[in-house]
This record gives sequence, structure tokens and C-alpha cells, in this order.
Amino acid sequence: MILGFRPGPLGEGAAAAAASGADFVYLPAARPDAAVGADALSVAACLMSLTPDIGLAAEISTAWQPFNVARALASFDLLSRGRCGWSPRPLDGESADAPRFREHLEVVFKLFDSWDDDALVFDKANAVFADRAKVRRIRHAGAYFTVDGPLNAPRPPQGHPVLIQPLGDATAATDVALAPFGVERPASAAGLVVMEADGADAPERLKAAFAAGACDGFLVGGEIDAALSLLGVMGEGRAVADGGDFRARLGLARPGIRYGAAA
Amino acid sequence: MSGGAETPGAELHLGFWMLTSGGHVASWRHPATETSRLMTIEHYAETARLAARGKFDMMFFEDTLAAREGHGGQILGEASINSLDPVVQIAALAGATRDIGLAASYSTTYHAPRVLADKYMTVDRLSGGRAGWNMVTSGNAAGRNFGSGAHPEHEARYGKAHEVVETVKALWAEAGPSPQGRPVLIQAGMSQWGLDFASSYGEAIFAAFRTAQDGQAFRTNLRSAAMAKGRPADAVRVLPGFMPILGSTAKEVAEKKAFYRELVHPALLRGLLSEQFNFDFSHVPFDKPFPLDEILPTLEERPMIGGTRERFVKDIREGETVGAYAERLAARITGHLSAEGGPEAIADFMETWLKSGACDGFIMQALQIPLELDAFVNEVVPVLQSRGVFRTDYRGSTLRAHLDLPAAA
Repeated sequence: MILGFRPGPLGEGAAAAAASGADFVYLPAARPDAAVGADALSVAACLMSLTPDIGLAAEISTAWQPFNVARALASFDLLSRGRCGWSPRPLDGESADAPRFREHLEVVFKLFDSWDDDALVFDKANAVFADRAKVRRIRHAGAYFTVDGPLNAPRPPQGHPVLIQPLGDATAATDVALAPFGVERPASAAGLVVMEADGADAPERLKAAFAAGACDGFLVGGEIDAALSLLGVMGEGRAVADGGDFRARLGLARPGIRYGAAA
Repeated sequence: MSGGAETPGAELHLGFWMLTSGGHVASWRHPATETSRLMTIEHYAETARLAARGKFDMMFFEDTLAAREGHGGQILGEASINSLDPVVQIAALAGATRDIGLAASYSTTYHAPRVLADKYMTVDRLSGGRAGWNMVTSGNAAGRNFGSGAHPEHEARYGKAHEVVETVKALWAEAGPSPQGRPVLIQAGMSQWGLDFASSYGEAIFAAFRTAQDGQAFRTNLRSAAMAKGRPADAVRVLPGFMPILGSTAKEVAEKKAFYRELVHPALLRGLLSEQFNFDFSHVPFDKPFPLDEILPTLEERPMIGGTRERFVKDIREGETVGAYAERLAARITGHLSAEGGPEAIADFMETWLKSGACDGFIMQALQIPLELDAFVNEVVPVLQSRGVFRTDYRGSTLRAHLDLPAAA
């Protein structure tokens, strides 16, 4: 059973959640009308220093340019040795199959793939830091974005940081689909399905849903102490994968280069 | 009490300019550099804690929005990558460090005001008031990764920078104060535009000076300009780039310089030439005069390495061979100020600059990280402290307090 936790806006409760066995934390992006000063990605980045091992996921508005998004995520994944997860958020009023949103995601993935996994060589004797034959421009020229690339950061250690999306928006690339509790799991769901739970929920109800195969785990939110206490109950006696990156912890395969031929 | 325009500062302010493996272009090839750790938070956190042991005001991360390139758009595979997202870095360090300020560059051209306001205010809160934003307008190479490929011209970029900073400040005011009021605003740049922008908004200015006289003139001008805008003269700190070359004897210094010269491998040297001149030097004979006529048609600005076409051309001496120019390039330890010698000599240089009103401190690089930062912290910092020109401990917990700046306006 996968267990996630929604911390407070500045990461409140995250360290306790990690201690009680959460696999990851998830920080939703602040809404445009929310008060300034709670950037989900920055909070998640800060948590890499304050929590051991667990996955750290942030929702990111796609109003931010794809080059910025890809570089921030690659940097996060490198610095944390593979603990990064993310959820791209469409613009207000935009659906997840809007061409702009789809193109944004495509550019981000092309940028992740603009470096081969073995492009970093560190060959001191021959002065080769990176093998330039393994780094490509993406030359993306679409209806919404023109991005030449390559990314100025190497490929993330996980290949692609864990992609988390609402179940309704999920595609074949989605690693974790977030669903409201009680929603029927579609036969077509390719990745993991994690249901939203609240600290006030009865653990028996959640355990029964899991046992029935309705989902692969839960993302627990709500009032922090209640959520932590529910996490503790749900996590009792559960085997947790030790070591490895966020993908390994979720049992997900590492994606290879998808856009290598683009150049 | 705020001093007049020419009043020198009483104490140094020191920033540490964090470049992956060090400030020297070939530092990644140094035997002490553990390349496998260069992109992990542990490397940055250990360096920040070392700088905090030396009571530095802040760690500073620069920003680039395109991969470093040699000629014809090939990436510069011989040089190390200094381009992880700097705000992700300082956010991660907020949780891994205490006391030391955390500053990062972000572009006013390629980030929306709301994004800038949110990110820096978040880091400021997470760090208990230690965040600084170095406001940059970005070099032209970035344009190709953000839309049409046409990077806005100077005027448009600078006009937008004013607007963006005003908007960010208004958003911060709405958000309510952080532990230091709001993040510290930093600026680099020496142009007339830069002076106007710096005197309006800048609280720390990263500068490049050749002589102490340049520094005095710049600092006096800037402080007068700030006062003319109703700000106290001490509301802005001038910190030129600086690289110490520590060695207890002249022989040791010479050996250290020779060692770093040798680190600049011929392949790296050709790469640096090809970056500077956007020209393939792999088959150019080193004993022939510099092929300027061939190079000029494709010569480009390279803001990432601080160069204009004009500067690159002027840099070549009359009749100089490629090899002679390359040798000068390879032997260049830094494009910034540098001082060499034992701890006393380095401290003399720094103290003289402070007391003559040429600067308020330095934004310091280390040839290699951690070796040369460690040596500076262990050997030079105690000398500065014993002379009473540098703090022996932090007196506050915010970057604004370290820089001894007035409350945020």
C-alpha cells in the first residue's frame, strides 16, 4: 500500500509523516488568488534536506515556461538523488487535453530526454566533462512554444521525475493517478491509482477499499494531526521498500529516452 | 547612523559565489574534486556550512538559461555545468543550513512577477529571513529556449526589469513581512542603466573593478545616487568579485598558479577558445597569427562569459599567435580582482579596499571547492577578525542583518 501525505503550505508535518512511514508528500500549487509566499516546488525542495528518503512531489503551474519547469525538476531530481515528483497544472479554465497543455508537457519531456543517461563522463584525464555527442538540441517549434534546447542540466536520475495527475487527466505517461475516494478504478489506468483520503476517515474503510483492489494506496490530507495519526494506523505492519529513488519506492520502471531521435 | 557618500564601511561583508567545483574554469579536473557529488545537495550543503563557519554573509548562486556552447551550437563538453536551478538550490539549502544568507539569480525577462514574488518569499520564510534575489535580465542565448528565439533588446529588457521589480515589491508588501521584512534585492552590472537601477532598488551590488580608484568612484556615485532618491547611503553594499590565491611564500603562490594553468587541458583550452570566438579551433595551428578575418563574420556576444564582440577582439594583441593568446587565456586565473600571498597579504588587500571606500566587501570565489574555501576560512578569516574588520559571529539571523542594511522600505 502506497501512502502519501499532504503537508501544510510550508511543509508542516512532512518530517513527522516521513517518520511514520509515508512514501511521499504532495504539495498542491497555490491558486492564483492565494496569498503570495507558498511556492509548492520550493517547499518540496526544502524538504529534501529535512526528510530522509521519501518522495517529494509538487504541483506546478504550466503558466511557467516549459524550459523553466524542466530545468527546475531535473535540478531537484539530481540534487535529491531521485526523489522528485510533479504534477503539471493546466491554466485556469484549461482542460488537460487542451493543445497548449499537451504541448507544454511534450516540451518538458523532450528537454528531460535531451541528455542521454550516460552523457556525463567526468573524464579528468581527457578533459571530457560531458560527451557532447550525447546531448541534443530538441528544436521544438510548436503552436505554443518554440524551444531549441538542449536543457542546461543533465537527465534526471529517475529518467523522468514521477508524473502525478488527476485520474481524469491521466495518459499513458502518468505514473500516479490521483482519484477521489470511492471512484471506480478504470480498467484502462496504466499507472498506479492513489485515492485521496482525509485524516477523519475511518481506516477500516480505506483498508477495505485497498483489499478490494480499488486503488494502490492513499494520499492523506486534512487537519495535520489527524492525517498523521491516520497515516500511522494505515502504515502499521506495512513493508516499506528501503533505499532506491521515488520510482523504486513506488515499484515503477525507469523510463528510457523517448525523444532521442528528435534532433 | 548612515554615512555620507564617501564614508568607508567599518566591517567587511562577504558573499561566497558558489560555482559547482570552484571558480577556476578547470577546477572540476582538480584531483580533490569528487565529480560524482557535484550535483548533489550534500556538496552544496557542506560548502554552505563551511562558509557559515567562516561567518560569510551569504552563499550566492548565479543563473543561466541555456547550455554553455562552443562553436556552431555544440555544447561545451570540456567545462563543468554550473546551471542547476538556483532557486531550487537555495530552497533546498534553507532546510540544510542556519545563519548564512542564501541568494540566487533569476531573470526578470523569463519569469513572471508572481512567480518571482512567490518563490523568493517562500524561501525567505522557510529560511527565517535569509533569502536574496539577484535580479538579472538574462543573456541573449536564453531567447532560443523561450519562444520566438528573439531575445528582447537592452532597452526593452531593462524597461521590463523596472516594471517587474516594482510589481514583485508590491506583491511582497501585500503578502506581509517575512522575518527580514522581504528578501534582499541584489544586482550586478556597471552600466549607466545599472547605476540607475541599483540606486533605485539594489541593496547589494556585485561589481567588477580593475582598480581601487574605479571602486571608489563607483561606490561614491552609487551612494550619492541612492541618497538623491531618498535612501540612506548605507542602504546599498558594493561587493566586487574577488579571488584570493593563498600561498605562504612567493614560491608557493607561483606553484599554485602553475598547477591551475596545467589543469587547463589543451582540449579544454580549445573549447574555451571556440566558446569565446564561436569558431572551430580544432584544426587551427597555434604558431600562426590569430585568424581574425576568418573569425569576425560569425563572432557573437557571449554574455554568459561576460563578453561582447568588441571586448573579444580588443583582447587579442597586435600580431599575436593563436598559441600566445591561448596561453594567456589558460593562465588567467580569474576575470575578477585577485590578491595573492599569505593570510596577512590577502587580509591587507581586503582591508585596504574597505578602508579606502572602494567597496563594502567582496563576492568571493574559491579556485577549488572545498580546498580553497576551507583554507580561506581557516587562515584569512581569523586575521580579518583579529583586525576588527570582520565579524567574529553572526549578530542577527537574517541576510538583511548580516549586510547591516536598514529595514526594508
